[in-house]
Amino acid sequence: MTKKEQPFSAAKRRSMIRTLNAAYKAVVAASVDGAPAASARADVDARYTKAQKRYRECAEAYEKALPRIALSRCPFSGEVVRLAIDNLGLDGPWWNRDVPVRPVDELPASVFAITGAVDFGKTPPKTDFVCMPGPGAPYVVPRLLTDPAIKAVVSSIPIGKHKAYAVVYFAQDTPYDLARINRWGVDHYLAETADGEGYRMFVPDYWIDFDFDLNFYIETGRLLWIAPGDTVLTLRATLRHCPYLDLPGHRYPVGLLDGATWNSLIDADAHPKDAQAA
Amino acid sequence: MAQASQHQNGSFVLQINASDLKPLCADLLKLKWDPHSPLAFLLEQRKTKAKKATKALKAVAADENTARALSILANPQIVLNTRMGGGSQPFVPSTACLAPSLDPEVVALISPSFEGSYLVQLFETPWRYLAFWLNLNASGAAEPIPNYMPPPLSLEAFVYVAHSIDCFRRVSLSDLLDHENHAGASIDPDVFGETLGSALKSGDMRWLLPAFLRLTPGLDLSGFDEDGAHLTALERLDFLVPAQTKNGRDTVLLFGEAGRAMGQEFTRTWFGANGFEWAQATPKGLNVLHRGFLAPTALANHLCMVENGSANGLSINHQALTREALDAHFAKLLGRALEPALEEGQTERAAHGSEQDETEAPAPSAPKFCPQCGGKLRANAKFCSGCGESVVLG
Repeated sequence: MTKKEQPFSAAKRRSMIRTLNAAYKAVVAASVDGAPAASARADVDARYTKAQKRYRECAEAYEKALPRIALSRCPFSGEVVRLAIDNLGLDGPWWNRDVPVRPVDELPASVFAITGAVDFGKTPPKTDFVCMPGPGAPYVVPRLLTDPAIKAVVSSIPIGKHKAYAVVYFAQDTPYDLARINRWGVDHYLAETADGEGYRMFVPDYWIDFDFDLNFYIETGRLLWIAPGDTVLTLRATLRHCPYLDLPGHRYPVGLLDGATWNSLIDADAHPKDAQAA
Repeated sequence: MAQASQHQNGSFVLQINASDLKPLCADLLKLKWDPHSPLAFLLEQRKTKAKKATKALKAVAADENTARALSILANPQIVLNTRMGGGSQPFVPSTACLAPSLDPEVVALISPSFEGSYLVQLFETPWRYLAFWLNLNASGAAEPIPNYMPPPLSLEAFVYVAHSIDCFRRVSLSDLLDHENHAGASIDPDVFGETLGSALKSGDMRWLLPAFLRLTPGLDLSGFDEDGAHLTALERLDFLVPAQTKNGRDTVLLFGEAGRAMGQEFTRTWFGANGFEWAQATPKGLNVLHRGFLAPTALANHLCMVENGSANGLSINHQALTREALDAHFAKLLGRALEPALEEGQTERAAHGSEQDETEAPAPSAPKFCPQCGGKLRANAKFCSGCGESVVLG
């Protein structure tokens, strides 16, 4: 069955998330503090392995059901970038910063980094995990775009009822010694060394990595854009008609939990629950 | 006339009359040429009377470099065809050849010179040749500018874009002649269509579109269909945007941001272009590796690589590159193009058991000479000690 025949419907997604959450809770419940007594060890192990297997199955089903969205296009080769993303809301585990459920995307070799922003207006959505969807308006990371081999493309997709902006960075020749940026929504990125060895890297967010004034980057050819709703994904380089300039929204990466928000530049993990606990 | 000389930069130059080529190659050097050789065309097409080798020609033949250069040109393994022209430049085709099995890295170039003579040049490495070619054909553009026609662009859509740039030039020149300066430049859709038809047939390389078509090898627009869909592409990319005249009765095509920016750039600063095709000679024929068109302006080097599109047609991958990016891009292309030929050359030399076998062919990705001045570089040098140029090649 092809992806088209398996729409990622809201009802199906809700049910998958419910099952996945239950499976996750079962894994947590099956794990014990400290070493179990020798007589109980086999039982504990079996329970834990079973719970973990169930969780993995649910996660895989969710990953498989995610729509592969044509999100961007490489400005060097013209190749389309398709990303498996939960586009029905920020409450899906794709958006879970700490335990993200995401498949490994097949991306063009030129993709260097993927980040983004989500404008959820004045009413933050409720998530029962820490969600880091980015700022409220599209931005670029200047230190990446000073490299002449890198260009970025900004495009937009709806995430549920929110407006989201993807910014994909492309490098014609991968600058392996340049630190990338965390993948959209999580606190790390996955990449390969020049020798083809995969690695995982965490990069803290710095205020200097957020430039919301896109004019300069478009004028100098470093940033291209795709019009909202353009299914052909035409890359555009003009300032005229660019819909991503001077948009409203938070000018800092937002942290979300239980409908509360905070500026994650000030403290990546601070949120009301922590404050209450303290 | 045949005269061999050594350039200041160490490269060998031979100037030779077309009528002297046959006695030199066939009689004195006893060369046999294969069908891909640029000499094949010159020697076989030219029906001249058998000419006796003069003393001067014998002296030229005795020069070791003459034999090296002509042997490579006679039996090339990599053929780099280029066609210079466009803007205010005359049409000048030239061919550079490599034959790693004969000479590991040396490039021989043949190009027409004055009064029916030819220039034959030798370059000690492909990188020296590349630096020579880029210095001749690229601009020194240093700052990045927007790429208003990013990939993918079908060949047909590119034709429309190139023509819209020419239309801006046409409107600008017309304004100049009429002592006018229209702020909102536009063109009548009928005029756009008519001039497109004539541009496709004209071959007049003073204009961008005909220059692109004439200089880029292997383009076939015989089945070209003037399709309104390409006008939509022009609108999407903001080159030409349909608008109503004030009276509301007529439609005009207004130049958008991209149309004006590229139109002005090409009106004011375009000075020439170069079409090129790099191919590997195989027993079955020439296997094309890269094909493209390079149009330098003061602002950018507009590189248009011809690629296979998705719908069985050709597509154009256009990039507006700084000189640094262009150098890096071509170095990568050349490295890739040379790899199989150099490997093949190594194998052949090993099979022949010659003395040269003991010297390994240098890795193509590590240039030894400065792309700017041609001076020798130290190992792993980032800058040329001669001219200070940043070594971006490789």
